[in-house]
Amino acid sequence: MNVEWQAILNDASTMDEASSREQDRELEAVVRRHARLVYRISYLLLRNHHDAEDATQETFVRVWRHRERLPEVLDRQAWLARIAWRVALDRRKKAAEISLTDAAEAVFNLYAAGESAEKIASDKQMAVLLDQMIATLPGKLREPMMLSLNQELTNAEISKVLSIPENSVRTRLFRARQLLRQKLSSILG
Amino acid sequence: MREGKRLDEKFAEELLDAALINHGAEPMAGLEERVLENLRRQSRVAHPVLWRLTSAMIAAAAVVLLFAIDHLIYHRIASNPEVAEISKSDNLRGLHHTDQATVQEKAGEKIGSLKPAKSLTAYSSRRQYLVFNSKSQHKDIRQNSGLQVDEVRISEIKLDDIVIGSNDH
Repeated sequence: MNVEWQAILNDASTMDEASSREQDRELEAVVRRHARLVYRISYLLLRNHHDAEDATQETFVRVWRHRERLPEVLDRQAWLARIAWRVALDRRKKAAEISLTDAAEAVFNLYAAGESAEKIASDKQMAVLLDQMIATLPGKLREPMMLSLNQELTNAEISKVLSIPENSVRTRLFRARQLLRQKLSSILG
Repeated sequence: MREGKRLDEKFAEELLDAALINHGAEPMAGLEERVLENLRRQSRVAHPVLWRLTSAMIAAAAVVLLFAIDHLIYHRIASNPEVAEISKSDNLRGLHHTDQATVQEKAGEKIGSLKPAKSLTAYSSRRQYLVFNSKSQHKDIRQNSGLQVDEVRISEIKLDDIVIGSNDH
């Protein structure tokens, strides 16, 4: 083979390897920076540590498959949140029948015993009750509400994840909070 | 116990805020390492270039090996005098035998004189036997007219069947 051609091929091979190494480094940086965000989004939908971790793994495997696109992505956090959201939605099992009675009664008993809002909020039963209340929200309000529970995501990022305007996110969040407050008042009242 | 056991709007708001803040969950320690390890595993399993290269090399090696074995065995058989004798006698099968019974009878006689079980063992396999016979018949075809081809093949198949049969006995 001609020496010049060999040199060109060697250069191409070296460039491929360098590009591959660069992609690996970039992917590792993305994992280290955003793995927790992905996990939290997964957990919000799946409400189970094991399922949330599996969804996190799957999210990054999908990212790995499209790693060549990473340099083109401007808002990586929103991009990852969107993938995580879709993976978790795919994995979410059909919601079980919702019974607010037990959790509501437990929370009401805490309130009746004179516990503070912070104390009641940290109780496991309150988390169950909140899950159930969110699950009863209409889909359009539920999705931005769940994403907003992840403190890392801004309204702009939520709008990218859900592909809706940022104003709609604000309106829906306001409406969702209103409904939750009403539900809480009626449950405990 | 709270008076009237009723939540006022303010308490509900306060409780909701606190609950929403507490609602998330933190992953177990080492999540990033577990994810990276999983990605490395994926990378090793599905490295497309390496996988394709390895498959191509294995396939090429297998083909070369098969050709080499076939070639060696053929030359070993061709240089064997016993086999050459069989080949000569096989040439007789190129005669015009349109009558099947006659072909079988002649073939039976040949087999009897050549000890068919032994002649078969001279070949490494039944396939080699057939391949070699067909090669020797090509010579017949060249020597004789083209019309003999089909008859040669028929007689060969019959002879082969008889050989197997005599082995069984």
